[in-house]
Amino acid sequence: MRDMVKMGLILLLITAISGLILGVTNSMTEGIILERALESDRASLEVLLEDADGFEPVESAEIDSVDIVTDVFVGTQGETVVGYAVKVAPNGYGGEVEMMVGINTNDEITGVVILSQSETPGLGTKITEPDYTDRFIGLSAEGDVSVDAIAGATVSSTAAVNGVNTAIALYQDTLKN
Amino acid sequence: MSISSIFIILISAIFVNNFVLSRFLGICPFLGVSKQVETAMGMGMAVTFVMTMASIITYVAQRFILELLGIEYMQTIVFILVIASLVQLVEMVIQKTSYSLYQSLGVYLPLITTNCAVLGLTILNIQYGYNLIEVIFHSIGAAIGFSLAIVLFAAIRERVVLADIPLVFKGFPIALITASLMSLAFMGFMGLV
Amino acid sequence: MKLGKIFSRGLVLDNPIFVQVLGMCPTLAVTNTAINGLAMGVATTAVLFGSNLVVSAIRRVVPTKIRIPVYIVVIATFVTMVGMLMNAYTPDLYQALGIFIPLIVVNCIILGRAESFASKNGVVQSITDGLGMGIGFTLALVVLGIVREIIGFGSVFGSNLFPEAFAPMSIMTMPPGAFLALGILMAIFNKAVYPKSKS
Repeated sequence: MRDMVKMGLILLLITAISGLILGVTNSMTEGIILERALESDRASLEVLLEDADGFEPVESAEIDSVDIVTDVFVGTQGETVVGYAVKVAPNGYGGEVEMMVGINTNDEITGVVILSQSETPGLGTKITEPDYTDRFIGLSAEGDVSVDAIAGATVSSTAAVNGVNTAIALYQDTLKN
Repeated sequence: MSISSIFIILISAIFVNNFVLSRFLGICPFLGVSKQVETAMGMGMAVTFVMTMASIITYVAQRFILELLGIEYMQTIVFILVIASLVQLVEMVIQKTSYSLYQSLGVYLPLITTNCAVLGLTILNIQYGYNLIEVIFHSIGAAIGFSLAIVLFAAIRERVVLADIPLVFKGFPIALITASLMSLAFMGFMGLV
Repeated sequence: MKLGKIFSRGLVLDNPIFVQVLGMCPTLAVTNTAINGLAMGVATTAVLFGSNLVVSAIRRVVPTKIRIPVYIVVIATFVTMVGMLMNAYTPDLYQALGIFIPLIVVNCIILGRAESFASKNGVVQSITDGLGMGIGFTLALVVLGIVREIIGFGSVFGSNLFPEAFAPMSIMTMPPGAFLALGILMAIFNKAVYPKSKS
């Protein structure tokens, strides 16, 4: 019995030490990790909403209720809103395709950036190339869009189009108002 | 949440994202315990049980302990300890109830602790943001996928042993090449969901 | 045993991947490019170094009955630390290795070395053993990564080797290619290291 207590205490002690060490490491790295994540989002935001000089995340219950939307940002120039960027993660061929869709207040798509994907190398991965993503630029964001799919990568292309259309729907239903 | 979304989770875990053949989780038992169909089935059953139990417990631990206290970074430690204790429990139960099963699985039961399919599954459950019901079905799918792969593989290996192959390929090399062909076959399921 | 011998054992004769066939999951999963293989190897070596050091240092105070849970906690602590540091300073690699970073915990090599070596030997020997095994693991991962990257992408460490017209075989970057490449490399390794053996 005394042995059991002793062993329990030793285990507890070691776990406590490890918790302490991790707590310290966590507080050291947490800030850097957050900053990097923001920075990489910011880089994409600046490409999508060129005119904006400030970005703010948008949060609302309606956004959370749309399945594949992960984040929404609003771009502002001074006090005026110039557009929105919607982060979506539709399902592709090999998993989720994480992408950001920019829409300006003139109801135009300003661009699409693929952030991460696990599509078939050489086929599905072509959706990340400007050759494909540029096809969305300037399309009207008043209703669903469609662009030519990449040969041999129909599923990946459909995923990208789905992502864009989800972003448009969110913009029309919620963000615009 | 609908029946169809559960069905999709199940099918995708069994076939499309098969834990062994496309995610590379649980390769050690896949290569180690697959010489005979019978032991492979035993292993599959043990893993199925541990996976489902571990998923539920770790899910509860994540939601109601780690997130509540804001110490999500302790996830890896907590999860692996849960799995290790669970495996110990299963081992004791099997030892008391079915001695023959205990004998055939012998050394491999403790190895479930270091089976990355179990820890991988529990981490993926959290990463995907599943709710409890989705977690349960995802675990069942993952476990069926694992068992399916290991039993099929064992059936092939039983025959490969009898084949006349170059000496240097005997053992693991030919097993890996067999696994490669199986994985190729499972790639046919990609895009299904 | 001499330190040099302890160190070099992990490189070839007791190579964790080609001889002991341990730690297969990360080996197959992250070696689609050489750089990913290298990153996984270095991360694993760092954990192996740390866990061997601590396990060896506390080997006399830990009761035998609870040694496995203690080792697991020690290993998991180092893995979590490595994960946090990678997330902060090399976010791209952290993304690429994904779930296989926390899964270093269940890499059989690490628990195996803690149990069979570090728990019985002094600190210096244990560190040496950890480094040897870690570097042997890293070497194997990098070799596998290079082979798969050359065939699958036509490049090595990201720089192109072939003219534009070369059509890479993408299958090598996908799961079947991982199994195939490792199987063939293992056969070549067997041939080179044990030319006359019968098995």
